[in-house]
Amino acid sequence: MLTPRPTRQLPTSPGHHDLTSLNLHREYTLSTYTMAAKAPDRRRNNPPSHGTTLPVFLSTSSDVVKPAPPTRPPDEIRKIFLRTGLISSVTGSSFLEIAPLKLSVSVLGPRPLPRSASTPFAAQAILTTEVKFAPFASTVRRGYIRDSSERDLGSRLYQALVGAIRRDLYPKSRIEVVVTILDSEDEGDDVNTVCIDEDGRAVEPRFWDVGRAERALGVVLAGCITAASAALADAGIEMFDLVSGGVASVFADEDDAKGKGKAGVAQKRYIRDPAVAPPDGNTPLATCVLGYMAARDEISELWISGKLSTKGGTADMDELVDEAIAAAKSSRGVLNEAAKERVQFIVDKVQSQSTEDPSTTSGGKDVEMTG
Amino acid sequence: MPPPTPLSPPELSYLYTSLALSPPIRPDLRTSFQFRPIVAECSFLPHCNGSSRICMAEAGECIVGVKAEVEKDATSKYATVIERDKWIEVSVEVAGGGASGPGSGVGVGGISGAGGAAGKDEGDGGAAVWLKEGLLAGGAGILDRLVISKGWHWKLYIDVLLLTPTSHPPPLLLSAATNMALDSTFLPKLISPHDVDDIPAFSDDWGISVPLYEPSTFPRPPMSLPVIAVGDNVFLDPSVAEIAAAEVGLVVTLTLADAEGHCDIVGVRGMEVGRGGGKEGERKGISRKLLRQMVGACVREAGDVIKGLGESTRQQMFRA
Repeated sequence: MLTPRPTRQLPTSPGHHDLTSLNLHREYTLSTYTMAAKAPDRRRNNPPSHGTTLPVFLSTSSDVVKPAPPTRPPDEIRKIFLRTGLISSVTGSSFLEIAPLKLSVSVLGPRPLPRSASTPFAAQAILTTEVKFAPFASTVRRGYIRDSSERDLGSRLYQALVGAIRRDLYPKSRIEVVVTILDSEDEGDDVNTVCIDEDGRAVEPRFWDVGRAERALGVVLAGCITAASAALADAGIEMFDLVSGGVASVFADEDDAKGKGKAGVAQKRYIRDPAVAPPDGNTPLATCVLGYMAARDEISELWISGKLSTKGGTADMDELVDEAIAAAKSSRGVLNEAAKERVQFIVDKVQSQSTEDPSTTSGGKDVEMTG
Repeated sequence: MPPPTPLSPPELSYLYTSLALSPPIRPDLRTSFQFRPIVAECSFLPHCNGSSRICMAEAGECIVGVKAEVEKDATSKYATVIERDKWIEVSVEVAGGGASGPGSGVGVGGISGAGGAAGKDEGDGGAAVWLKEGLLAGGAGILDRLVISKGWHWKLYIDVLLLTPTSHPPPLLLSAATNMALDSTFLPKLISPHDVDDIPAFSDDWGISVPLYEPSTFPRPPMSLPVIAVGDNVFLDPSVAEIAAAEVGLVVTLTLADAEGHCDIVGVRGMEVGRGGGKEGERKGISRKLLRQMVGACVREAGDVIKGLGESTRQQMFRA
């Protein structure tokens, strides 16, 4: 694939540079001069008044840019950076980073529902979730209006969180979870796309990359779930358990997938927290994303996409789900630390206050309970 | 928000208790894995390549039309880029204005709920997304069948019209109708050679048209089965009231893998349920054991259901 990369031509010598810009400048002043006699012409694209240097496109051929081979063992998830309380204007917030993925979560509320005739009575808090990719978050630009995949992610996030929140403690109120994805692993450009050479030699050189979008969205969704739980904890909203997200994919050897493999057991490979590109020589079979409440051992949201055989009952699915749960357990450790950090921050703050004013010593323990 | 039901909290509590009994008592006295009868008709829209109309209990009615158009692969100067995931377009229209109609679109999708959406931006509750996901998952066999010749392919439009927005839980209704419509889809026979990238020519004799899904080849079009759990009991084909009382729900998408009725799982999704009004039970999610039970029930029963629907399609198609 040719990826044109605009690079500004660097001046070889100061003298050369002056000459180029001077020449350009003269050309432009000539053309602007003829127009400048009248008012600025709005029907034409006027050139800039100063000179410009032409961009030089360097082709990045395949031998130059090559992704680093995965050094991570398949049962290890990527390192997670998770911080809470970075946005001061909302009740709770968090920021999460997993290699290329960056997202921030804001929790607004619980706040009262608007008093209007159209508002129904709500005995439990109404949760709304919204997931939005920033327009610059992926290779293909995203618009400002949420598209169907973003709405879909939002409703999955809702499903993951709604059971965990003690909504009956917040009647007649609403809690809003807003996720903004600032950067994501490259999902666009050549997703599910087959390139064919002009001379027709390689008609279909690559296996159609099944489940690529699912893996990309799965990692995003798992990140959203983990970060949203941290933000909810940061907001001090009471929950039954923190929900952590986990992703796992199952791959098969290429021969097995095409039916050439012997009738024996197909060699399956489970990868937790998979990268978008499948490992060499492996065909993706299925991806599982789930929201997992580790303390209760319950799955709050489940999404499996791909193909799983049921020859041995649900054994194939069970293995995949177990892998995803293991991934979720790994990210739970990070989530616990983030929640703890926040509690520690409040405790420290109260203690520092109480050393100044000894009359409020009883306050410290109360705050610790709400976290 | 849970799907809207006309049931009051005491009614939900009663329903929850009766479903959690051992053995459970369903409101219509079905057994746990029993499906309700359906009326299924196919190939009745004259302007479509394939069509179906499904009527289910609780006045659920749905019409699907499948139309195919010849499309050229997008070709630039240096490469032919084939974006195969754009070869199928699914749209779900909800009669009565969808988002603005009764129920405000909430719960129409049923799957992972339209709940949580901040605005009323989507009448179908994301149904089009999961219908397409089910079609494309699992090796994408359908996409290989859409290739016409070098540089040309069929573009498939699957238009679903849900006539009764809030009555029947849609996953089963929509997917059964889509399944049947795809099963009855015929494409005109190609008469120009395969390996030439000229404009393809087709025979205008519909008698020799080729089916999109060749009979007795596998996999067949997918189908989604909703399954709920109350207490220790698992129920297939839940009614609207049962979904409102259920603790957890899943939609399992399966496709027939061989003639004996074995199925492959091509998708599992969480389904939004009413959680018994929010008070009953201690369950907040699905345990692994319950998950196994729920999916296992679908896998066991799905073969007969999909085969039955396929049988009915075949009878109607070759009756004339």
